[in-house]
Amino acid sequence: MALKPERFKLQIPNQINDYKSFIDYCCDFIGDVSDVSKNFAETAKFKLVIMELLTNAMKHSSTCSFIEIEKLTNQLSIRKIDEGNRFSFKDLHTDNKHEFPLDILPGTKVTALLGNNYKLTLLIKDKHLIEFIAPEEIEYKSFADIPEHFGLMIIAQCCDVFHYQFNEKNNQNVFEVIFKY
Amino acid sequence: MNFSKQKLGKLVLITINISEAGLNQSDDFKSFLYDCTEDTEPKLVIDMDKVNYMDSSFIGALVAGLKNVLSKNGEMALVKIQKDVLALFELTRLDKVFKIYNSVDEAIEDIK
Repeated sequence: MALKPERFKLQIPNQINDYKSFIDYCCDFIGDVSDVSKNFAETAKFKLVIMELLTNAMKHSSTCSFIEIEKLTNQLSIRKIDEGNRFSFKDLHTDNKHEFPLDILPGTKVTALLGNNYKLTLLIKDKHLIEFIAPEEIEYKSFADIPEHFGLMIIAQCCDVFHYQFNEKNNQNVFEVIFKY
Repeated sequence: MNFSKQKLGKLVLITINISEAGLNQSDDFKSFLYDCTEDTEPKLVIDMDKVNYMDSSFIGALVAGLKNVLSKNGEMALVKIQKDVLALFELTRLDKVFKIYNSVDEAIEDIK
């Protein structure tokens, strides 16, 4: 299906007490994207992505942050943009902490430890760009193994592509979520 | 009150009275759950009927509560999870970890 290019941008409040209005507003905007709006499972994923990006903004963005949604031909792009702290991660295997711009070869896959038991595979695209890879299978070997953080993993599972880009020139963090059609 | 509890014999029935369970409530809910598990072998049933939206931080609080309950050889059940919220449990495979029921009676009958 071909969509007429269109976008909107919303500032994320520091404290959100009304997720519903924000999510409803985003759902209204993509109402003509029938692949998402007319499909319960896809709508649920879209809502989860918005909710998790809002939570991520409240949790990690010390500065003003925005959500931008863009309807492009054959894809829907949702971006969370801020100028706060850069994303960083620890390599589970080497215990090295990595910050942007990265000093890792493009094409490398890294198992990032993002919290207690919270692991996620990252694909290094270049020194400013990583892709979050959704786990193929989730299995908890014991109750102690279950993480208490899931945000980025949930987003990665909901969409087709999820990446983080550090824009060095503007000192901007961009988390981009793509639904393809 | 965002959360309430009712003692039913050895069991505690917790009701979440908010429709949007997110970051702003997750720490309070975690503390609330811990306060409900002072007994040995605590048995908790959590009614989630009113919750229409839940984020990862709140589900993290539920996981922390479950770990605490299990460490005391207790049991915890979730009841009446709305469709959108259930999608979150399915994505994280936590639907295989938590005991989930359609009604409070069914949960009480099973874990009492």
